[in-house]
Parts: sequence; C-alpha cells; structure tokens
Amino acid sequence: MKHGAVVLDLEVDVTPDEVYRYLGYRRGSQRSAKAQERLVELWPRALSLLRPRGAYRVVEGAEAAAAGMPGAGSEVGVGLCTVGGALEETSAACAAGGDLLDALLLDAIGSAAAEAAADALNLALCTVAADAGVHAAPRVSPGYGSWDVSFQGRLLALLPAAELGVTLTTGQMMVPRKSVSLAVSFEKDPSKGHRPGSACERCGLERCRHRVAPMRGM
Amino acid sequence: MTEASEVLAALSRAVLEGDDESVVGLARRALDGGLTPLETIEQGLVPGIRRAGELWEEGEYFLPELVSSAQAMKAAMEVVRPALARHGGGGELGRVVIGTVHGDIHDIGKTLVGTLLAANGFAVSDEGVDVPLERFVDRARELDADLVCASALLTTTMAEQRELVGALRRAGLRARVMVGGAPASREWAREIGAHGYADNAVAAVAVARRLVTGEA
Repeated sequence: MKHGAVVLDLEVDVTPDEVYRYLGYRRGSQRSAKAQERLVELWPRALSLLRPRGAYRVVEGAEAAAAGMPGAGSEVGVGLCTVGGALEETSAACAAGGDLLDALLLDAIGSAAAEAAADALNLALCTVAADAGVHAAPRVSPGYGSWDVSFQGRLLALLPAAELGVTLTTGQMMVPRKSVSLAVSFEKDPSKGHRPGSACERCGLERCRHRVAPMRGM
Repeated sequence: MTEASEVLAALSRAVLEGDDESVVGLARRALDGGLTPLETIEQGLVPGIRRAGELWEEGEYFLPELVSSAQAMKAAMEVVRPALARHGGGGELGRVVIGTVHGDIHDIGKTLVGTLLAANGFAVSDEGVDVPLERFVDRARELDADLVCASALLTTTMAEQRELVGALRRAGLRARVMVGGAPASREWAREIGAHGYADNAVAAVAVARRLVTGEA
C-alpha cells in the first residue's frame, strides 16, 4: 500500500461551540455578552483567513518508528495539515495593538480550525485504510503521550512540508503554529493496538486546559 | 453612599464587567471629584481586577472575561497614570520583563500573563516571542527588573528556561525568575533554580506579587 504523498485541500467544520471550548468554557457555562458579540463579528473574517490544506502518505512501519512513533504497525499513514498563517498573523497584530480579546478569540478559532483540519485529514487516512481492507488506529502526534516532540522534524521529513508552507523552529515547533502532524497505524486486526475513546484519555498532558476526559488510569 | 464611594464602586464594577468605555469616564470623574490617583487605583480599580481573578478561580469567569477586565483596567490606568506621576508616582509593584524563550513562538499565554501583571500594578516590558537569552538579560539590566518571566510551551524549548536562570545569575542581576508553560512545573522550576512557577495567568499574578513584594 506504500505510496507517494497526496496533497489536498481540506474542508474544515469549525463551530462556535468548539471555539468556546478552546477558550475554556464548559458546557452550560455563562459567556459574557461582550465575548459573544466579538466572536460573532470576527467569525466571517476569521473563516475567510483559513487556508486548510494537508498531505498524507502511507509508509512502512519501520519508517514511522524511526520517526519516533510509538506502537507503529506494519504500515502507517502519516499526515500533516495546516490552516495557514494568515489567521495567526491577524491574531498577533491584534495582540500587538493591545486588543487581546480579539487576539484570544482569533487564536481559539485557529485552534479549532487546525483540529478540524486534522480530523478531516484523519478521515482521509481512514478511507485509505478502509479501501485497503485494514483498520486505522486512533491518531497520535509528536508531543502527545509517549511520542517526544523532538521527533517532529523526522516525521515532517516523510511529508511535503515545504509544499504546505510548514517549517520548524529550532525548538521543533511548527510554523504556522496552527498546524498538526499525525500518524495512524494501519492494523489488520481492529482490536490490535486499538484503544478506543477520547484522545484526551491517551494524552499525558494532565493539566491541559482543553482536556475533555480524564487520563486513562486516573 | 457618597459621590466618591459611588464612583469607586462604579469603577470596580466597570473593570469587573470589562467595560472599557465607561471605565475611562469614571476614572476621569473620580480624579475630577477630588479622589487621589492612588485612591482611585486602590479602592476602585484594584478591587475590580482582583474580583475578576477570583471569579476565574471559582470557574465563573473564563479567559475572555478575564482579558476584558484586564483591558478595562489598562484603559483606566491610561487616564490615572499621568495624574499619578504628578502626585509623585507610587503604586507600581515592580518591574517585569516577560517573553517566550528562543525557539518558541507561542504568544497568547505569555501575553495574557503580561496583561494581567500590568493590570495588577506591575510595569511590564513584553519582549515578545522567540526571545534570545541576551535580550532577556539586557532588558533586565536596563530596567533593573525585579522579575523575569519566561514562557516555554514545548519540552524542546523549556531547556532555555534553565539557560536563562544561569545567564541572569552570571550577569549578577538581582531579578528573580518565574517560569511557566505547558511542560513546566513547580518541580522543574525548583530543579533549574527558578524562584517561581505558575500554571495560569491568575496564579502568575499571585506568584509575582509574592516574589517581588513578599506579600502572600
């Protein structure tokens, strides 16, 4: 199944509820009128600044393991997506101009959009797996769980990062920041290595403010 | 309720509600009505921003409400600060240099901490993101900073926080160091010799106050 990279435009489904979750609101919590008004006003412009694109490849498990992926199967779908830099540049400009509320809201829209892009890319990899008659395990990313973020460069080397406009800082941080790299192990047996449930259950960032489910074993 | 106490209560409420438009008029009204700048700050503005922090800790306020309150505080301070200078200054808790370490370009969390520190009476110099060690040291020396705050959001960049503690020490500067960011922890701060750690912006204000003034 191993093949070259596929680059694609991604459809992202960003919802205000998801943005509010990134801002820390829980279901049913009261939101200030000001925050809601600003989000409504910023929404169309923010969406127009999104350029969601992604790329994926299917590689040998050994290649993914060499990029640090824990529990790589015999074949692995690796992917990279970004929503581009325009939104975060606008957010940074707002912050620099002292308008931190708008900056915060735009940043949260970007986070929700990047996650939606990752979901869309993940779905594309699940479709590749299904077409080949195998099962896609839950996606994992460098910096989460036991996959050290220092491997980010090795994972991106498997993908056309330059074509997507994604680069790394010396600290292995992706630029644009609203980018997600991921890998999905392809398994013949759906139960092998498959750990259903929220990604939050598998993530080691115990105090993450975006956590929606407790860590496994907590 | 006297006119003065009415204005002070309205100022507190405006900061708490993040009303950065009416807070400016109220600050002018307070000063024009004979309240001193320090009274306006300490009895009007500060109770509002402190209550916003408490509501955040209680889970009633979220980041947008907290930020709105900080922005309202900032808007009011722009009115009060010139009057404060004419009265001989005072009211500044300490000088802070803040930035995200070299190799890391996460911005929002660091900016939020800087904004809340400023709203709570610190003079803050925000150096931005991807800040080299030399710039932290130079600015701390230039400002005779009381506190240097360094944010790092990745395990690959948090090592810069350790380097910063060493660089400030080698430079012989008196500034204390507070670290923060997703991979940082109290244990990490202790290990690298930092003086404080905070895992959110409201806690950062309390830790900064403790480190700079000794106030709990």
